[in-house]
Amino acid sequence: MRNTKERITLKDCQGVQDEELVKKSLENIDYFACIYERYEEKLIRYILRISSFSYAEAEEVLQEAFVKVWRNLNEFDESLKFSSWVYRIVHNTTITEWRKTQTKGKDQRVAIDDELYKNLPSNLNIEKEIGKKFDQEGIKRVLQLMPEKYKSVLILKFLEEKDYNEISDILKKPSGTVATLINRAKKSFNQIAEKENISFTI
Amino acid sequence: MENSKKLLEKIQSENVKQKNRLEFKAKNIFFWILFFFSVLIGGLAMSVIIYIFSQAEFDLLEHITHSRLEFFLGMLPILWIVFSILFLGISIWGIRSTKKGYKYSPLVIVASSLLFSAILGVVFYYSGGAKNLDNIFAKNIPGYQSVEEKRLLVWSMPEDGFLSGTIFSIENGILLKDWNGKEWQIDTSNAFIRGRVSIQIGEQVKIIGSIERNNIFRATEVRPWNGQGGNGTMHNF
Repeated sequence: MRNTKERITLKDCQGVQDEELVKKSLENIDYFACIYERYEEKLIRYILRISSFSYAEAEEVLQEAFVKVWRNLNEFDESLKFSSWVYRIVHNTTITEWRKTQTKGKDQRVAIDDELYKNLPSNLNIEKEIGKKFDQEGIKRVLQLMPEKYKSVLILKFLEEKDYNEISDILKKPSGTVATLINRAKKSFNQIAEKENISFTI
Repeated sequence: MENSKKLLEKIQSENVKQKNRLEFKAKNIFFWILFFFSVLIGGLAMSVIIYIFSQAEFDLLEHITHSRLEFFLGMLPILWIVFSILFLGISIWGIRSTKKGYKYSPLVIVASSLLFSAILGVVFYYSGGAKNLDNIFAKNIPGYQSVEEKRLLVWSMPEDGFLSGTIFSIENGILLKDWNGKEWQIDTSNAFIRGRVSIQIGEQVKIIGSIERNNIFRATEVRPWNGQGGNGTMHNF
């Protein structure tokens, strides 16, 4: 039998569903560390994608978001996917923190990883439509200029690979609105690229 | 230090407490109650709007020679329209604040709130609740005029062509006593008498026309006190 003082490790949590871990966390906080570790990498990457925080800042934001997750753990409703719920809290915390830095006049940067370069243009059918390859700096500039709500749905849909229902739960918007936002975001991407005369290498 | 350990230490050192499950449930229930309450109030407001419109005599505008706009605005249930919009807004906010409220599209929420309020409004109206509510407001809210009071004011302006009261004699033409107790002789020789009007002693009527002299009023149209009275005939009494 396990000694109650013995620390729970990630290994103990392997194969345990998120929802089960939530229940266990309510009884033993050590299980909460498993949840954190399970999502840490994914969520830091998400924070970096939707903001211009540095890696260290993203870690701080994630810590803050997880304190909120802990505080509201009793609110988690099993009819929702835990990942959607946790993404929602992280998304909102990131946006709030990001807006604070913007009011301080911090430069906007967009952290674009290889996956973004690879996936976004093909998902937006831009390559297909234009028959050209996207310039990486071009993508960066377009995203910098995109309204926050459009940037978020594009990232959730094409990079985080969330379906409409999950995006609906994360952004707390009806599924129909999510579909509309994605369409508008695609248009917005193309319009900004055109307006800014962002070059695409052949 | 691992970030997960750092997190647990932060939670423990700052003594971060979890919110109670009941707190979330209570919040959710509160917003559902707020939604239903707002729809109910919206329904009541809607019923008074229906009542006021059903009693409004917009055709009188053609007989008004001055302050038409003022007269028209006076006929509109502006307070109740504001109430309806306000409680529609509260009901939308209420349902959007429930746990799953974000799943409903704003259009569906607005349409369903309006539909529920309209159904309740019709029920209240036909059950007589709207009239009672209008009268309760008139008694208790300073400056509020009920449909009855407005009607009384409009139809007590013989100089402007609107007279009303109770018929007290029909032996030598129609004799009418207005609400201030003044007696009038009504000339209906060229008057249009609405269908629901019954020329008999004790009948309460509204008359459009003009003062001929002193207490003689030449009628062009006679209506029952309640409503417009439907179709009628030219009458030579």
